[in-house]
Amino acid sequence: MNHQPPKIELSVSPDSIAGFTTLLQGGIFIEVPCNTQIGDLLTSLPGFSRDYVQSRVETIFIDGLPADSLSQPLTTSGTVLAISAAMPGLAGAIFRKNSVHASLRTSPTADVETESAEKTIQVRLKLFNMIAVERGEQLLYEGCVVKASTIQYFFNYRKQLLKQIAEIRVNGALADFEDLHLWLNRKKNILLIISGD
Amino acid sequence: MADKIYRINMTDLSTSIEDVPADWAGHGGRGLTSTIVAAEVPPTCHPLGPNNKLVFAPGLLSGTPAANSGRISCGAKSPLSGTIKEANAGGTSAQIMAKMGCKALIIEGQPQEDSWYTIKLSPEGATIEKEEELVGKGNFAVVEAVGKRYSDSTGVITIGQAGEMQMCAANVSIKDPDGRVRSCGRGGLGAVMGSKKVKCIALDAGDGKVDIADPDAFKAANKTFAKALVDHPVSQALGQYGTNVLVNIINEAGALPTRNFTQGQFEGHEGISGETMHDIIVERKGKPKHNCHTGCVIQCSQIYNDMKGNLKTSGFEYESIWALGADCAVDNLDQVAEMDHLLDDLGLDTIETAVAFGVAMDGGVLEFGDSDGMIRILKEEVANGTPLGRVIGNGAANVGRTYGVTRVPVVKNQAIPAYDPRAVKGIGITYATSTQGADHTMGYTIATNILNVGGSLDPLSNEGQVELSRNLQIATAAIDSTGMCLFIAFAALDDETCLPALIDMINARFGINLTGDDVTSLGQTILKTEHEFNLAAGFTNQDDRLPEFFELEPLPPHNTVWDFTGEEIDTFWNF
Repeated sequence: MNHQPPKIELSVSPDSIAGFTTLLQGGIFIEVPCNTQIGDLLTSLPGFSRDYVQSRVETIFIDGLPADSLSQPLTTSGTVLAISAAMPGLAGAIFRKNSVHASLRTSPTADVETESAEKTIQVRLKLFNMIAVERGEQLLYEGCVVKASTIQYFFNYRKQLLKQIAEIRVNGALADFEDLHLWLNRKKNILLIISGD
Repeated sequence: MADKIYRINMTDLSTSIEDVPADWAGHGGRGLTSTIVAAEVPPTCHPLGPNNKLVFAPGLLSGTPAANSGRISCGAKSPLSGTIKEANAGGTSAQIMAKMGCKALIIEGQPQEDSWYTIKLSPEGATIEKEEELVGKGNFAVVEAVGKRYSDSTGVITIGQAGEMQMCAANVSIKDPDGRVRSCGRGGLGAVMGSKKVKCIALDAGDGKVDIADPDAFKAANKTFAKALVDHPVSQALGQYGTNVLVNIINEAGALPTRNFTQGQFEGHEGISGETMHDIIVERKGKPKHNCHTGCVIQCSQIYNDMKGNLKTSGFEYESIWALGADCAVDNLDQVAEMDHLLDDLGLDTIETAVAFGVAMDGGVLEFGDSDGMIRILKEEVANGTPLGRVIGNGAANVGRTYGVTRVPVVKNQAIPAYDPRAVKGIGITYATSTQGADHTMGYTIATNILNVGGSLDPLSNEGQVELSRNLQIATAAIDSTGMCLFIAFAALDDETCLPALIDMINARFGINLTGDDVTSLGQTILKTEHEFNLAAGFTNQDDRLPEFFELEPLPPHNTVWDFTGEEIDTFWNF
C-alpha cells in the first residue's frame, strides 16, 4: 500500500464546488491502523470535530450493516464505511445509530474480532447527503484518494460539471481533458484535489 | 358551520347533504373513509360494480392553520387488492373540502348510460354535470381546463386515461398549489372513480372556513408542533434532497430491490441518488425544496426540470425513482423523470406500474434497463389501452400471470415497495399484515416510547418484531386520520413535545380532551375495522404472507431470506 496514486488537481468555479462533493457518495480511500475506531477515523478528517461526528453523523454502515457505536473498531482491509445524516422513513429510523427500532433490522450489528494492531488497513469511506456537502469541500481541497472509475462514472452522469473545470494538472503539470481521460482509464486510484479558482 | 356528509348517487344522478352520524363524528381522513366503507360497502361486492363506494375525507385538522395538515384520504374497496383501501395525498382539496364544511364525500352507484360526469362541490351543495370536453384527457390537461372553466383556486380531483379505462393501478390525482398533481396512488382507486363515470370533481370553498373551539390553545400547540418539525434533522434532509435521499442509504444496506427483486444493490445507484438529483435540480434552476400543500413546513417535494430548463416533473419521490430506476435497472434520472411525468398524466401508480415493468422484464417482454422501451409502452400501449398496455396497467401480479413469471413481489396483489423485506425484516411484517396489501406507509411511525404502547416481548425475537410492527401500524392509522402528512412521524420519534402538541391541536379544534391512550385506541379501532372488512371479503391469515420466492432466494449482498413462520405472523392480530 505504499505506492502513491497520480495526483490530479482540478481548479473549478467556486460556485460549482458543492456539486463536486456529490462525487464523495462513491467513496474515498483512507489508510488507518487496524482497530482504529470509527469515531477516531472520522475525527482525523478535516472538519470532523468530535461534536460534529456525534451530533451530525446519525447513520453509519460498515460493510452494509448498521453500526450503533463510534467506538466500533475497523479491523479488515477493504471495509466499506458509509456515513449519513439522519434519514427519513421507518427504514431511516431502523438504520439510525442507537435506534429504538433497531430490532427491526434483519440481523444485529456484526460482532467484531480484533486483529494485530501492527497492521495498516484500507477503508473506503462513503459520504452521503449533508455530510458530503458540509465537509466535502474541505476534504476535496486537501485531497482524497478516489477510484478512477468513481470519477469517470461521476462525470458520465454529471457532464455539465466538466464545463466548470478551469484548469487540470496531473502530477503538477498542466493537462487537458484528453489527458484526464487517459489517466482515468489507465490508473485504478487517483489522488484528487478540487479547489475553487 | 357544522360539517356535513355530501352524498352523490351516480345511478339516479342525485345529490344530498346529510348530518354527520354520531359514530362518524370523531373520525377524519383514513379513520372516516374506512369507517364509511366498512359500514356501507358489501365486502364481497365487485370493486368496479355499483355497490362499491368511493369516499373522500379531509383529516381532523385539515383546513386549519396546523402545519402539514393538508392530506386528503380516498377510500373504497380496492380493485387491485380486493381489500379495503385508503390512499392519501397532498394538494389543495383537503383544505377546500374542510373549509366548505364537507366532512366526507361519498360517491355511490353507477350511471345507467355510457356518459361521463363532473361533480362540482361548494358550501351550498353538489351538482353533477355531463362531461365531454375532458374525457380522454390526461390529468394535466384536466387541471388546466377546470381552472379556465371555473377559477385558478378551484380544487380538482381527477383521473387520467388509466382511470377511465378502469386499470387496476389507476390512481386518483389531486391538484396541488402549482397546478400539478399529487397522487392518492395505491390500490387502483382511480379505477373505482372511473367505474362511477366520474372524470373530475371540482371544489370551491367560497368564503368557508374551519371553526376552532379554542383558538389560543390551538395557536400555542401549533407553534410547538411546527417548531418540532422544522428543527428536526430529518426535515432538513427532506427539504434538501426529498425522499430520494434514501437511495444511497437503502442501497448501502443491501435493501434496494434491483432487477425485479433479484439483488439488494444497484450498480447505477449514484446516477439516481438524491444527492445527484439535488445537484441536477439546482443546475437546471428547478426547486430542490417545495411543498405539496399550503402549510407544509417540511417541503420535501421538488421541481425537476429537463435539460432545457423546462419543468418535467414534481414530487419526484424515492419510491418512484427506485421503482422506475433500480428495479428496472435504469440509471438515468432524466429517463426516470420522463416516466414519472407520463405516469402522473395517465394517472397510474408509479410503484405498481414500475414493479409491473420489472416483472415484465423478468419475463422477457423487454430488457432490464430499456427505459426507451418503457417510455414507448407507456405512451403508445398503456395510453391507448392496447392489450399489452392493459396488462401492464393492471399491475405486477397481472403481468406475472400473463407471462408465467413466478418472481412477483406482491402481497394481496399489491406491489411491494422500495425496501426488500429480506434485508429489513421488520418492514416485511408490515407488508404481510397490512390491511391494504404491501404498503410501506402503513406502519410508518412510532408508538412505543411516546404513546406508551410499549412492546413487552424480546425485540430481537421474531415475535417482538411482529409486536413492534403492530404498534407502528396502530400509530400510523391514527395519524392518517388527522390529515397530517406522515412525515411528521420523524419529529414525533425524537421530540417529546411533538405528538402531545398534535393531540392538543385536535382537542383545541373540537373542544375535547383526547389523550395518548385515546389516539392509540383510535388507531386500534381503525385497524380492526379494516381487518374485519377484509375477513368478510374472504381474506384469511394465509393472505398475510410474502411471496414464496422471498423464502427461497437469498438476497445479495447479505444473502438473507425471509424466515418468519406463518404462526409468528399470525400473532399480529392478537390485540
